[in-house]
Amino acid sequence: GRHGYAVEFSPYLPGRLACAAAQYYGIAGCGTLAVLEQNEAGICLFRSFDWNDGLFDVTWSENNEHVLVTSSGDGALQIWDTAKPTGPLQVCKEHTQEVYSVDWSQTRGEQLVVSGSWDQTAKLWDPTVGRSLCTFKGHEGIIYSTIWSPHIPGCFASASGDQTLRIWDVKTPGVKVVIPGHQAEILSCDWCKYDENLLVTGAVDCSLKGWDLRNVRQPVFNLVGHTYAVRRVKFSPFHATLLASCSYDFTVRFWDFSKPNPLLETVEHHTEFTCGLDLSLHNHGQVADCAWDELVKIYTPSCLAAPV
Amino acid sequence: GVVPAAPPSSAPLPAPAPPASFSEILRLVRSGRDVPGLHRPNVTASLASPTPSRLARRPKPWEGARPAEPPQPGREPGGSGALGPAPLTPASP
Repeated sequence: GRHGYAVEFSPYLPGRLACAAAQYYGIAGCGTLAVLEQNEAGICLFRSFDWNDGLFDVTWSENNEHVLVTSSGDGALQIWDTAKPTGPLQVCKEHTQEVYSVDWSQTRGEQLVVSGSWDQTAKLWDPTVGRSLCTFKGHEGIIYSTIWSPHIPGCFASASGDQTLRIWDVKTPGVKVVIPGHQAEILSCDWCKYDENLLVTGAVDCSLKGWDLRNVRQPVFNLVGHTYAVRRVKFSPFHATLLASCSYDFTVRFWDFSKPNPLLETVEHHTEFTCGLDLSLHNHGQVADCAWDELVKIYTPSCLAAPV
Repeated sequence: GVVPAAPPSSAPLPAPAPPASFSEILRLVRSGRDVPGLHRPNVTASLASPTPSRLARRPKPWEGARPAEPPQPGREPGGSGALGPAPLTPASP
């Protein structure tokens, strides 16, 4: 069996989805990248690739519909081509521990990848070059998530076991902003697509907190409801105040932080830790998630079904 | 779902049942024992060039729908973000 860690919709093809998975919960064994295709008949496996160690994250290229990047337990990144089934195009191994996060920049005019590792560093990569361009040090704990700003070129955020959210600019190796966001490990972060100063963090304290970079002394929102650690958070591609989160409490929850009762809906269709979550850029309201119960689900929750 | 780790009592097995639970795997790995059913491929890079792209990049839902600076009240005019210095690439007009 394969334990799902991450899912991501293709930015090019509305029905295509990638899932990064690890055998045996990522503790031992190999990894699998599954490229799935959804159509009227259901979900089918378009292509599957194996890697020597567990895969923990996946990101699609923003300049080539065939290309994606995964990150693995052996400290490496793999670049894949869905039209070349024999194996990865390239392997970039520099991190000294598990790479839990990989993200391809979404701002125009640049093609950069950022990785975040248990070795407490983030690394910047040009996908056409085999070596990293820069290493970002500063975190005092495991990095769980590294996410590019969708608005500010060269800017990314990182979430860490050292309980901070940090903001980086690729022009300088030292951190720009340090936000002691929680009194617990921060497992995930994401940027608001409609406000370049707003981010969200999800932590082991079961909460999601919003952060305005112009005043980081206190959160702008605090969303409670999950009963175990928040594993991943994603802002909606379509609405400024909508977010989704998945958790070790097996649920996926949808929130609108502008409402007095922000929890819109709780979806409980997994029987294990729910780790992967993505919101479609093409199909309004469509969500994909994956969990350690070896299931990938694609659905449109009722709270996202009708345009606001 | 999770497969029960204990084999059925009626049939003797030639090998232990594959472990399923997280704690079982952790125990095996930490004690240096082999995990049954482990798949260890030996994959290497092909160093081939990527298949050429034929599709144009699609704009994101948040691109083009509004000007470079968010129009909400309270924002500074000129769109200077909290990070101050100019971005890596010149801002689009």
